[in-house]
Amino acid sequence: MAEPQEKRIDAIQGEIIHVYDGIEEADNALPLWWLWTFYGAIAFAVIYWFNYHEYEVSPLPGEAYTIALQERASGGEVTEELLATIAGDPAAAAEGQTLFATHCVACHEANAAGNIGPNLTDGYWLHGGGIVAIHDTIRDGVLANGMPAWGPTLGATSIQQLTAYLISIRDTNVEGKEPQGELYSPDGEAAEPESDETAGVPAADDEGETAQAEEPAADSSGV
Amino acid sequence: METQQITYNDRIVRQFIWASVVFGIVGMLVGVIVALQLAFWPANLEPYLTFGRLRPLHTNAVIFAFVGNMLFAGGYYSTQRLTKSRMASDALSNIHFWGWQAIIAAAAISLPLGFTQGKEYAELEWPIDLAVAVIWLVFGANFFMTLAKRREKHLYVALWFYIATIVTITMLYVVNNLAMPVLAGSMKSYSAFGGVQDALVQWWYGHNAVAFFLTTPILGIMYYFVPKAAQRPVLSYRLSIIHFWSPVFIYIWAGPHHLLYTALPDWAQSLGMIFSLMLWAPSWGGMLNGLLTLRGAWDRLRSDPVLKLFAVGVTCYGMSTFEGPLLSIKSVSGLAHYTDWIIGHVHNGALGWNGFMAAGMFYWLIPRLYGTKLHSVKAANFHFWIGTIGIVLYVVAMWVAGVTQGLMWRAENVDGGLLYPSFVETLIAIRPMYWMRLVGGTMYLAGFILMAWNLIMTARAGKAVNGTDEVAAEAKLKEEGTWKEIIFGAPTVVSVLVLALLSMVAITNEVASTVFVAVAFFVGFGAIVFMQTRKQKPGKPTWHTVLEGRALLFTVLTVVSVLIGGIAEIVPTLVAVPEQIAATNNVPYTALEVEGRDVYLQEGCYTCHSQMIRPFTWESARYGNVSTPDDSIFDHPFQWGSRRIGPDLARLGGKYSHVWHYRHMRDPREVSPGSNMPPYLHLSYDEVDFDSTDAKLRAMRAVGVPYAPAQIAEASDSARTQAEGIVAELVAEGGVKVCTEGEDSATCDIRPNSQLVALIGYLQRIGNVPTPSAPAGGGSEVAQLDGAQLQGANE
Repeated sequence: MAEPQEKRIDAIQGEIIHVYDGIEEADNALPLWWLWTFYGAIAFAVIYWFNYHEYEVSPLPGEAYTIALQERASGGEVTEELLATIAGDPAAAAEGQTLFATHCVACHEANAAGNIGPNLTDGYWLHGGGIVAIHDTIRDGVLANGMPAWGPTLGATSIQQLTAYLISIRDTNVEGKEPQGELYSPDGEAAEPESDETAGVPAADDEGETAQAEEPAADSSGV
Repeated sequence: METQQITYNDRIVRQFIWASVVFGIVGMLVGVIVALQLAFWPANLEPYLTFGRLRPLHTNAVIFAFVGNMLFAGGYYSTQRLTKSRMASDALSNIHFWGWQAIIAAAAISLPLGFTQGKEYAELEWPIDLAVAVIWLVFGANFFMTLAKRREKHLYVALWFYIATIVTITMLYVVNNLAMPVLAGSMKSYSAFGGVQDALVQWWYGHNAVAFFLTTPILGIMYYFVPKAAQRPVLSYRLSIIHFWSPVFIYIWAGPHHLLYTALPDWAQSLGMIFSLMLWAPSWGGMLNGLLTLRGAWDRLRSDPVLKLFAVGVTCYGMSTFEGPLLSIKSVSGLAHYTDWIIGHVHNGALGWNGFMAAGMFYWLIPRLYGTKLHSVKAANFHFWIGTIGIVLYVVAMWVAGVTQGLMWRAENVDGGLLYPSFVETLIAIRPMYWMRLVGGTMYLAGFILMAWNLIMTARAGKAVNGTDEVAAEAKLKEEGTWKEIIFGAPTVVSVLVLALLSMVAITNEVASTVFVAVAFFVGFGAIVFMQTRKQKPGKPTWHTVLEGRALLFTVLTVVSVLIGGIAEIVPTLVAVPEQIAATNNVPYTALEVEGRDVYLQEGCYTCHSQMIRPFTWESARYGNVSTPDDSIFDHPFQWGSRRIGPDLARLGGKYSHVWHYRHMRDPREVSPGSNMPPYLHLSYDEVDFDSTDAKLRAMRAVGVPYAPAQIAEASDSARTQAEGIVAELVAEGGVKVCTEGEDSATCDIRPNSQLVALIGYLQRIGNVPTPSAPAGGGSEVAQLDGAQLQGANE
């Protein structure tokens, strides 16, 4: 450090204590507000640590998440009666159509006649064509076939509205992807297996071919 | 006293300045291109100029080429004058300059070609990393040799910051880039760390690259050039002491604030947050010393473009160092993380702080280095205004975009569903902001190009001159105190004592911890009171004055300060690795999945997609179960990501069919209308060489992934078999036409051993661990078989 040649006191910065390569250095006191900001942050750090990690008063992110999950409304039991009521509501089906246009057309096409996913307008269903089976398939997905579970993302109401829409187009037989799965008839629904992820696929090929030949016996009385 | 004249090596300063100007323009131009690509996807040109490959080029060019060359220029200029000696070795200076430019050239070629380590700001592959390390050490050797022969006894604060920069970057760069090369002849390597550990090491590096490459050297430059340009005294010496040592110690701990709400252990997350908050005041100490040095020169801000640029630059530093701690608060991070707010934050720093400090320094230096006046003050003023408006547009656009998207992601219906279930909706909502950002960035680039023209005209009007100085012929520097006085001085002893007391918190229960912290408080507080009130003997130098006279000791204390935080956070997590691997339910990737993962890295998918689902109901609703450390345990490197321009992929595996992925990768908008993802048609035809897959598995095994020898031996066959399975499904379900050997790509859809097939194999496996008994969907039979074999081999 070069001590200043002679003591200089700057009118604004005060006494000059060092000079380096012509750069003068004053030595003003640390601003109090600055100092207390620093001390305050240190105090906060200690309190925070003891709150979360020593005395464990407040919940850490993982625990907070568990609490949030518990607090979240379950959405209530979904029954066949409830779904049937919603399916009878044209407004619900219209909402469902809007949702379908946003989330489903990438795989099922705008007219629901199938592309990556199956044709939803014929009478044939891979995972059950009953109202509860359709609802559950949308909600829980069929991971083995690449059908996402939409329940968590869309919420209970939207799933019900989508179900209503699908019921409204069931058996309208738009020309598209060849039928897959089993022919649905309302009477047989009780005997139908629960939406089973693996069982439907191999059976689909056998019956699909015969189904293509025969005229789909449309039983649309339920709609 | 006899004097002699010395001539400074200013040629090297000029070279670094011009390199910085050129690479600044290049780096910013690439920035404008990637900004355009986000707003307008057709600007992605396959295969080399897609966003995922250009974004790393942009960040690396701006950080290492633009700011790097700028800090070398400022560092060489000021170091010589502050030590009153020419740089120790002209040869080392030249090796440094040309070596660094060669590294930049290598980066500019290798990154678009897809050679990458897959870690942000550390993308350069191992041969280039080695070159960086060597050249950096050349710089360090040159610098420390110059310090050793200095004629000025005491080190000015600027030099402290240069010392911290050199030693800390060496440590960070080397540790974070530790990797196992696949083959001696190839560029490919795998990170030595995996999963949680890799994430922690990466952000320990990433955060501190910002601290010690983009901040500390620029603070050194600020301490030299601001008082020079303003011709005013620096505000406060004692402020410079506290604002040097506190960030050097605290900064290192703050890395985990990039990983809040992730699978990183909670204690590390909390340390990251509280140390970030403690960093706020020390950082502002730098801003105060910079801005308040202008006291008495405020009026010249109207006329002098250099002071204008410095004033706004330092103000942006203050804004960034306030915003940083703010974003480190967990709940704020919950909103802002993975959004464009972070992008705005870093550009406030890069454009405002780095860019304007660089411009101010260039405008001040070039006339002096060419013995003339600045060509056009008017143009420089115009540069200032167009640049400032550009920054404001950029940062405001990113704030709005970030907060908008963050709020849309978390918006929930009353019945628990998401208000915006389609990710694309949240992207379309912010697209206008992407255009606004493009305008801001373009304005900033235009200002910078104007500066380049102005500097060239200035240089052409003058002639290169080298600075000279009169110095004492005999430089005899008398020691003021011994190293013992430093090591056993009050500040060191008290610091060690307080840290030792605080560290007991890690190993004792809450009651004992309380006692230790209380004792630490009283020791620290008492020491501050004692040192403040103690009468300094007249004529006796203070502890820090003695230290400033001993460069080596100063360096050693700096190294110790930066080591503590890293060791405290990283070592406990590394120690836990063997236990975690023994307890894992995960299995290593199959041979094909490894190849697919390399395609994912090569295309820079992590620049837009995270793989880390945070513990929020709205995250698990959108993406699936919250991520665990186990999910990424075999990921070398980890791919948690830092930005979601596309959705999180942590649980993508099995969610969609192979055909969906095939169509999506070739034309994302076919299945996801409104997406701005680049198309990847070329992946259907670019082939993977399965013959070298075993070498990849061997390298993975070397970094700790438990592959059985049989698995490595059968890697090529296994990869081919799994690829055939995927192709067969694409044919059956999607009617895809497979290319025959040598067939032209115009007449067929996909080659059987293409990168796309491997990528689909990987995408179907992310977050979808095959179990031998009950196979999860999506994973092919081969994957399950390999998993079963491995489990058998491990038992």
